[in-house]
Amino acid sequence: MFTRRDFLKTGSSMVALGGSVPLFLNRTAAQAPASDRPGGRDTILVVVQLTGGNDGLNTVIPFRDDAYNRARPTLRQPANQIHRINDDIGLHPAMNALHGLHQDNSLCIVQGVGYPNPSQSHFRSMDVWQAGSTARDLPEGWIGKALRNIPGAASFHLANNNESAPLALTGAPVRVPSIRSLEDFQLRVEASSNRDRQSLRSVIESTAAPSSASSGGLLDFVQRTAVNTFASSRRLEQLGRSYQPRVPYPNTPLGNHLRLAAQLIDGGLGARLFYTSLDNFDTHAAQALSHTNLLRTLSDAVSAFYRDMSARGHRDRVLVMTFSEFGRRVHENGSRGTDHGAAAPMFLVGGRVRNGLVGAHPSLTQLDQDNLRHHTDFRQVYAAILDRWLGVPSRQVLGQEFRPVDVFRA
Amino acid sequence: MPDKPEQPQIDPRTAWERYRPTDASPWDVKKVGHLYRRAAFGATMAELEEGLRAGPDRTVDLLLQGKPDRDNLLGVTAEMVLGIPAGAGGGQQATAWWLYRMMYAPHPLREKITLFWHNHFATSNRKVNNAGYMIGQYELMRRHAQGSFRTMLREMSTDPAMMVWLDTNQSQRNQPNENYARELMELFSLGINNYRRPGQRNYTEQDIRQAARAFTGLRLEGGRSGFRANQHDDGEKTVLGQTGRWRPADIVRICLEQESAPYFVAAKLFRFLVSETIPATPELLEPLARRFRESDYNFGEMLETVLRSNLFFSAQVYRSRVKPPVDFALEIVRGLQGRMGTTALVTVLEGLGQRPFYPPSVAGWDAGRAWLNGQTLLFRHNLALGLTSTTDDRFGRRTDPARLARDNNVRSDEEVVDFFLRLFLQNDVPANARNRLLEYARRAHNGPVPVYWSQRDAEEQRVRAICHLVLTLPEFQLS
Amino acid sequence: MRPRQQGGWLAGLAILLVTSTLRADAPGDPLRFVPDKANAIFKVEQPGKIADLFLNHELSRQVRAIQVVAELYDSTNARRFYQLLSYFEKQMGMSTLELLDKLAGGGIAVASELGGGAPPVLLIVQGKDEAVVKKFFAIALDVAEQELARQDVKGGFKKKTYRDVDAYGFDKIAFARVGDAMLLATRSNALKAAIDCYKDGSGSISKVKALADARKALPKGPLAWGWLHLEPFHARPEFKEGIKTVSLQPLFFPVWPLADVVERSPYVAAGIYQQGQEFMTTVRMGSGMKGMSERAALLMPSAKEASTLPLLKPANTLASLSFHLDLGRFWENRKKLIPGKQEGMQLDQLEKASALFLGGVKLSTLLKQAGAHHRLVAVQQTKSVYKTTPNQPIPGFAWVIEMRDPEFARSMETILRGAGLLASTQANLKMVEEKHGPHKIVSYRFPEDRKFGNDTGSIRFNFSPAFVKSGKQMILSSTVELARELADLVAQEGPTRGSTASTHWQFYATGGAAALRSAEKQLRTQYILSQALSPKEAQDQIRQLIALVERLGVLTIETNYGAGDFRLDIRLNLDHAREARD
Repeated sequence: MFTRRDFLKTGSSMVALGGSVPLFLNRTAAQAPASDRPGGRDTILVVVQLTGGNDGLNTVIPFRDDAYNRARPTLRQPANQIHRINDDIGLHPAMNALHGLHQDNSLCIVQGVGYPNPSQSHFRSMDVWQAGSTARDLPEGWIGKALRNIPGAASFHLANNNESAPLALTGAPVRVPSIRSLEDFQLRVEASSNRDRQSLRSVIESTAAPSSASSGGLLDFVQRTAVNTFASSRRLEQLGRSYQPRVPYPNTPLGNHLRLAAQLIDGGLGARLFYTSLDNFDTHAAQALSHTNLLRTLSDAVSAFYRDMSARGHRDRVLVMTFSEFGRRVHENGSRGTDHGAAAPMFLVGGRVRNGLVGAHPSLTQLDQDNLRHHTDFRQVYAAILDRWLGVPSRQVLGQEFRPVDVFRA
Repeated sequence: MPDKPEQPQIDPRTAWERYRPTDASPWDVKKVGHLYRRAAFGATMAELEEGLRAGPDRTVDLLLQGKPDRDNLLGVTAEMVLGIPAGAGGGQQATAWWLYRMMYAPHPLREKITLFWHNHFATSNRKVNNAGYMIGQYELMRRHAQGSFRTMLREMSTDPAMMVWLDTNQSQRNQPNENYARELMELFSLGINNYRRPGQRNYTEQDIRQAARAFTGLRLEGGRSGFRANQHDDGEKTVLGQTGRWRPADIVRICLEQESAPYFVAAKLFRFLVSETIPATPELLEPLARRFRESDYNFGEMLETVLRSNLFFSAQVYRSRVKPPVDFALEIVRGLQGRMGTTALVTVLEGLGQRPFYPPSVAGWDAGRAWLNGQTLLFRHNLALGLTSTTDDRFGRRTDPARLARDNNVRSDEEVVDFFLRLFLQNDVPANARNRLLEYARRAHNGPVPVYWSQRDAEEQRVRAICHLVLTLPEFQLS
Repeated sequence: MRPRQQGGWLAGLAILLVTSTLRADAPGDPLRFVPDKANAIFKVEQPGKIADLFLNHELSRQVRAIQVVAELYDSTNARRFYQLLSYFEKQMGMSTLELLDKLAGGGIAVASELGGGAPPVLLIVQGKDEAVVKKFFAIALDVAEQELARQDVKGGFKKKTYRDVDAYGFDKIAFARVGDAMLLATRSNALKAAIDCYKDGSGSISKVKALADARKALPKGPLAWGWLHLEPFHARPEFKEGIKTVSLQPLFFPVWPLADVVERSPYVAAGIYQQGQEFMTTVRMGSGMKGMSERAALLMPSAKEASTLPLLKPANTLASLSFHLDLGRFWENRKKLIPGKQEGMQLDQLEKASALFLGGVKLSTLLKQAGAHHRLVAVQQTKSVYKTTPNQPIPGFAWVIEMRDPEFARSMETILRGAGLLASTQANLKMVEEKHGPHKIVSYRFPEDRKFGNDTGSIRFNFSPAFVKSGKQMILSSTVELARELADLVAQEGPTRGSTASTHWQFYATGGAAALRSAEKQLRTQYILSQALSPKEAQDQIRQLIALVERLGVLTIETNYGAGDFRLDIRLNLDHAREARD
């Protein structure tokens, strides 16, 4: 495993070259922030977007409520299979892994999250959540803006094929790279044999090295960047080959993305923000099976990631947040599915979260145009994460003050 | 900030005088390459040789005027616009279309300066969401690229794309939208601080508010801009010390009468065309700025002065910019005299951080060192590989270094190395770089190749690899 | 030895020799390697013939003449591939086609066990000559190892021996040579299962009934065929959910019978055939009308009625469709077909709401009066009642409905005239009644001297809506010329009842070509931008593409529900002359 000592060994030559080294993967010891301030322990945030509108009512289930059983004749989950969080609320039967995290004091469920005058349009609502604002024009994202305050933080968009960068990451000072695998960091060559390959790489790396009479200036800058780039690339290649997860990851795209995140975090490269998504939650028909599979995928992947990170000692640094652009209707429709709704729960997984439920489950009978009413604005959750986890003033990012929800332990 | 603390002082009086070749500063192939990198998108081998023969004056002439459009590229591409979906969804094709023009333009300087203006008036299709408008704005900028800045600034206030971008289209009579007025002063003509007296502000919030009133009443109708008198606040406004019933054209006039205006624009041109490392002090810019104002903001004239100047061809300015992504990609394709589809290039350029028609914000691209970080540099190297290997499906098979070498009768390994070093870097690399390339060629010559490859395969592979290696030299990242 | 015994002994030896020679000549069946838990197979029976078609058929030549494709063939990767082929030719001492025959003359089969995460895939290449296969395998192994090293894949091939077979693997892939066959599997277990199946001689897929039935159901002599074993899926919850989703969605009702068949059929099989200028793909399933659920059966034609009327082919047809759709019966049995209470209410609401549009005619009446046989036609317009030509040509189309009850015509006329009146007032349409032979045609025209809203491109002059009754058929057409033509064609039809197919569609390549022509500007821009062609090159390429599409002749699609089987035939006939006859 690539240890911090190995990192410092290769890193020392960079310190010798002096000056600020414009790396996306490096931070020198001098820049490490004080550990008592929020964000001071290089906290990590992984955002998992559930695209399509997750049916929150069947995810975090008020199984004792009669109204639930009446509203969901075919989609209701049997009470004896639900994983209980408390006497009234439990998780969908497929989420046993996530339930395990609750028993491990690492799962916070914020209920009834939404925003005023909710939109049921996928595009508009997703833009609102990603921008952290309900304004008419939304050119920038909340994470992009947050990154302006923590410029040293490397961030990554773990993309599916052909997925473009989400609005949430727009506005960052340095464009957030979209990566699919570690191969995106490899220096490629077209060689005629293995020997030729080594030969080419050695030429590229040696010609990039600055000459002994380094005079500063642009050429020097390019050369230093190049040297660091190749070093990082090699390191990441090693990481790719040598990474042994402590816990098996499910072989799903989400599982692979989180595994990649784990590799980047463990490589000690200063990677702090990750954004990824899980699609197909728009279950208008025949919801039972597909929703079950999705929740199982989510639960298994997030749990594997968290346990892997914990086993490596990053338990207290890591926070995983899930959200969806809206929830779904209380009553199921005639095709055994559900239509677009409003309020829904969010999950926060991490070693420092307040375990259990935050906020009451919205009433199933006092509805707003057939949809659940929210009591917590999603920007309050963002404010908590920005202020108390990342150490970024939430007011700058969200444009106004939102009272942060109490989701972290003291 | 200066990188070399002990930089020789530049004399503003002689900096902008016309360059004449001397023994100390002769007209050599390095200068030709430098000129083509800055004023165009790189040079082909033929253009380098021709420039060397023709001398600085005639070469700059050629670049300023452009070659004759024998293939009617302008006409053909104008027709192609009809095939691009005008509304939403045409964004990628619009970018590909402009890249196509840049790539094959007989007058590359025009496209390059339009790119400069695009960065200056940074309007993004992400908000405008209309390919037709973006191309319309491009045409506007191109028309006046080497012409009058005053006219361009005036016409820009009624450009549809700009109206959507900075909300002029929404500006109400009783509640004027200040966006355009602010950016007009802050980003398009004056800057926040007075260029000569940095402690002094160029305008106040009150000026902006008053100016915003003048821009009310403009509306987009059927894709064109119109003026609705009943939405216009025609009262008296006081802007920057002048009072009157100002309309948009008046505000532009008033801004251009301010002291800072010519310096602001000259400084931008300096950073784009001359150097990102030499500080653009007011003293250095003074001759340019004075002439710019006297000529009634004739940008073309200032451009020509800069391109012919001593400073432009001096050693300090040589390789003092980081090569932007668009230049990086186009120089390779033009140098290899290949043909390449531009739609794939759009995605690649986005990864490198510069996608035309999509600047990150109204302040444009940061440029300079911001172009390069650990990831973009890697992408550049991999892009160079994609363009030279001929096995990358995104870029097709027609930018082939091996074909170019054959066409130029370049055979031995040494000739190949020297050919590409001259083409892309005018041989201005440290000796050990050249030696390493020769050594590579020798090793590859004797090395094993797959058993089913023919002799020609092995040779071509070597040529392509050498070309790729030349493009990964750190010097190639500089302009 | 006494002479009679000697004779017998010699005869026995002769027979043995003959049969062993026969055995040596006939290559083994690649399916002997496939274990019976595989549920999907694709087999190429005659690789040589396919290669020949690919190289020599004129359609293939035409494709390769297109510039983009020609460049693909000239690319570095393609050239290296050809060199690889030449290398093998040199090493093996025979041409590529001969090699193909010796290596794969017995067929190429791909088998997989679908369902669940990453299904294992097994590829079998059955050769005719063991010595040739052995030599080829050794050379290919060598080349592949070199290529791996070049691509910087560490480790090379790992060799293992399993039941006397040498197997090689890298990453998860495993491959081996067994006698005169070569096997490749995406997982080593799959390879082991294949070897087991072969060595034990039992448990092969050939013994599965559903496969034998499928092969019998397919016509003889396919170039290639595929088979999917549905029986194991029938019990799976995802499969049942999928079928239910389709059969519960009211809007999907035309495919309910199909879903029903899929639910019961033990297999789906498809074959590809070629004969002269005709290419055919046929899909067969093992269940049909017998045993169909009541709901689905309600939508099928009863045994008494014939299924579809013959196709109508006016001049310049682009597409002609004929299908069975008994909306009247659907409406009568709507409670049975769409059981949901909510949906039932919605349908009642629809009836109420539509009364407004239908000029007083009730929806249920209208549907009952309409017949079950429908035909749709799309044509390329050549003549026009208008003098103005539109910028963008749009094909004319018509819907021909058979009337069960002649009152239908009257109902429709009421409705259409009402609609026409409305349109006249809103859009200045002029109504024209004309007599065409014995038929009365009512049509609506746009005035040619006036502007119309945003229609700067004169698109509206593609349309002159018309309706006419001819015999038992009601014709609704977008242009009056088409109405005239169809009225005549229908009158000439006589009492023939067409085919037993439940749907019969034909598409004419001229339609595809016409569509491409109308999109020429967009295509040209795209070609220029994506491949950096000059405008002239782009123009040429589009012309070549259009010529190619036009060459494609006629595509015919037919579905047939038998008592115990189902057939879907897709035929592509490159011979234009036949189209008129059919």
